[in-house]
Amino acid sequence: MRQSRLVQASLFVFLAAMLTGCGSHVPLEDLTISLILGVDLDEKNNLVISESSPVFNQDAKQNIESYQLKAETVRDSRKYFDALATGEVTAAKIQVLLIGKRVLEHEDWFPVLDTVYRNPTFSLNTRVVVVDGPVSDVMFYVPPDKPQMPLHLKEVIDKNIDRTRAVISTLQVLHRQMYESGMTPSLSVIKKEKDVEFTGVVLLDKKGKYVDTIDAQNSAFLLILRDEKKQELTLTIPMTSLGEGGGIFHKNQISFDVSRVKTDVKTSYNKGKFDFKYQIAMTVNVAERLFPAGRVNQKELEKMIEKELKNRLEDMVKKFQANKIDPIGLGIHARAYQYEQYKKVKPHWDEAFAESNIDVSVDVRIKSMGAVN
Amino acid sequence: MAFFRKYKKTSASSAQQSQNRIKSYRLSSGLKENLAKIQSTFCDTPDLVIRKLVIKQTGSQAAVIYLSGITDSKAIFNNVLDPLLFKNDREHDEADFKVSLGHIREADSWPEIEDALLNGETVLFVEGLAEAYIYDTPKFPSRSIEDSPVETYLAGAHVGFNEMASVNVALIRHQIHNRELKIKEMTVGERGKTKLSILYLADVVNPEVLKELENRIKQLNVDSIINAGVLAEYIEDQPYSPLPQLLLTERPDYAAAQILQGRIVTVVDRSPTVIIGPATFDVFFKSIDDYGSRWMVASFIRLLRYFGFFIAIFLPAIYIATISFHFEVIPLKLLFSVGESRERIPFPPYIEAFIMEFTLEMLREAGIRLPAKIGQTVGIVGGIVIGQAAVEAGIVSNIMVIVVALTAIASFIIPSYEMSSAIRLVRFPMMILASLFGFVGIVVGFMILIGHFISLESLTMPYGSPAAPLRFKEWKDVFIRTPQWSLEQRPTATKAIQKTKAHSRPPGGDDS
Repeated sequence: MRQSRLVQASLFVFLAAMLTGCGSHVPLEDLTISLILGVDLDEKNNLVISESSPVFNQDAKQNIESYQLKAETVRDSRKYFDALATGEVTAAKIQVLLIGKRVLEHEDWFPVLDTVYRNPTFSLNTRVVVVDGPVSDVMFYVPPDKPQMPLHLKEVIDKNIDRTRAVISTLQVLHRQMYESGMTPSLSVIKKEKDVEFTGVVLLDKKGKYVDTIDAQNSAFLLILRDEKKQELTLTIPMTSLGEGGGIFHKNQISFDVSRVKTDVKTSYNKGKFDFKYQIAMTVNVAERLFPAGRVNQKELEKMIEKELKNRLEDMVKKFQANKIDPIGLGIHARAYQYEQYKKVKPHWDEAFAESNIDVSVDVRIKSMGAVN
Repeated sequence: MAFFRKYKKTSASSAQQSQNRIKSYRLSSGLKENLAKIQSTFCDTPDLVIRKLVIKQTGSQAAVIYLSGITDSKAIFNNVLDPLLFKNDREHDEADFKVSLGHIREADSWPEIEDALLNGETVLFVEGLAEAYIYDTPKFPSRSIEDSPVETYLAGAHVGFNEMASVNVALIRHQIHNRELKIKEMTVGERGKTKLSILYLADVVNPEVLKELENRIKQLNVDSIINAGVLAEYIEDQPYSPLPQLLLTERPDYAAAQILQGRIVTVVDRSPTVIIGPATFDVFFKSIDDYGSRWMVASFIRLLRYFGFFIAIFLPAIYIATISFHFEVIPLKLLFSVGESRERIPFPPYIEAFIMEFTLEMLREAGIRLPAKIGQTVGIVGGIVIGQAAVEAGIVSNIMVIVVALTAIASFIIPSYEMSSAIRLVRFPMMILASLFGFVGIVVGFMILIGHFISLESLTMPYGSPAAPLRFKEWKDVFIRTPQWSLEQRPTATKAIQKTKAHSRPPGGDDS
């Protein structure tokens, strides 16, 4: 009895000593925790990597440190960062990955991010954001009236995702979109003017090359087509059929909250072309109306909104087709419902997409005209 | 060989010795001899009273002997001395000396006499009799019945055990008016001769469990049992375990409730705590308040206790593991504030945690040892030292202070003092594991704890029941407490022979 207990105890100690544990043992405050990672090209098309991390020291004048340097690869940059920063540079908490627009203007930039996917310390929930302009403008910008840049950036992007204006573009989503044959990638984009602001969504082609930018309102339309409405979706559009608003105040504007939107796509194939029939049903609450009540009744208003939305959506789809990009992911629908045909065009889905018939019909129901008449 | 030779020698002379022993063992019929013997036995015993007198009834010489501190002097004066000296009742022609006391016995051997005197009984020697009369007059100094200062409840009876076994048994009897409540008495301890009373319901308790308990007590060979904790340690199944396997309580209502569940209560004389067994892990998380308050409140508080149990064991370990290994799991905003407060601290997180935990334990121990009036000062000193000065001096971070405070509070909400001390102890190995291996270490520690917990027994009954072995039906009274009428069954872990309690039904209308 006693002996077996001794054996058990020594076995336990032995096994405990064999435990691998969780890697190195560095307390939090001795780390340089990168919160933003930037990838950009300089004028001579050299790869420029930048990073920004919080400084916990109270004596430091700034509570954030940022470095930018030339490196061969993202991983390679770490040794230079280690040379500069106080603590061990770690990638595990990167919130935002900034990609310069210059990078996107070249094909096949995606392998640069290889380590981000291969190395398990990177978090796949990192938001990927495109910077319209040099990344360093954003990276080294210290806004006096805002929280630290990484927090601020993350909040701005997340808020716009919640309000159905920005696309969800985490590293994982980007990876999927890059390798998905029935879809082309799209990323949120920010710009540094006076302040850093969210401007819309950039659309990339199959190889990741920059094609087009759409503004925030059009991003909302893109998200409606994708059936990805989040918490809130507000649209403000002029009722052009009421004539020019004229004057300083455009009096034909109307804003409404889309409380419910259901997007249905009917996929068919005839005469050598794909046929996509969009049926979008919306329930809206009018939030703002600048023209007087007497001009139009509710039914007419519904029709006007339907027409206006249909025009805009169709315009946008046409533009996609002209650019041969499919950020909506209609290829996925084609694959799901017309696999035989899709299989044939799979290697060049963008061509097939450009030729397909896309028809949009919108059904709007106004649930409430608001508290005042 | 030397040993055997010695043994032989003693056995040869033993016959002669035993002859002498019997001689000195028996009482003599001469009063003078007896008194001389008493005086030589109890030399240097100033509280020994020898009152010589002539019994009026028979006219014979006699002596009343008692120890003055531990006897009821009023009873001796009124019920022993008074009848002997003044009553002359010749109705019955018996040698029985009339005294007005309930319990009278006779003894004819010296050890009996000695025992009786030390137990506070009064001994009457009569000239010409080789026997002595023993009158039941003990009155040991005792505390009045008060609320237990250690276990305080809101809804229970405000009565606690005191140091008299007879009072304690009476208090339990007061709760259970049933002829099936049996009491077995045993004596333990070579010198102490502690009286134990084992209380149980004869038609409920499992006889094998009872026998096991009795056997363990019988096997004891110790000088003295000073208090119930000593006995509990001797009869526990697994004394090397950090977890307590027998329940100790100072409250008669709680003890009675446990007897009704089919458990056995051992009352230890001279100790205000009683031992309850067989215990299961969940019993340590129950209090009498759970049954006195409404069932939803009781359930909520019970869940809180289990939550507190995990916090008290794991929170410092999790702190160490996250700060040193897994900072990724800290939310970004918290990361900033943790980083800022950790930045000034010169120690790695595990040293910081150990400093604080040891400080806390010392403060707690100091608070217990000091009298209540000074105890408050310890609280203030501790509060200022830990709360402010240590943080301002940059020895510990304020996150660590929060962790320590939470841990302390979490361990305080466990009703059983034994269990909460066990938790305090288990915390430290967890912290070591966390500082070496991070979350993996915590998980391994937890698994070891669970493995140990499953293998534990209390009086040969499974300690983990009803969680391990899984008896899902009995979970009605583990993590939550369902309404009273739904708790019809006694727990299986007591192996009660009468499983179902008296039939109960929910309150309701006539048709229910």
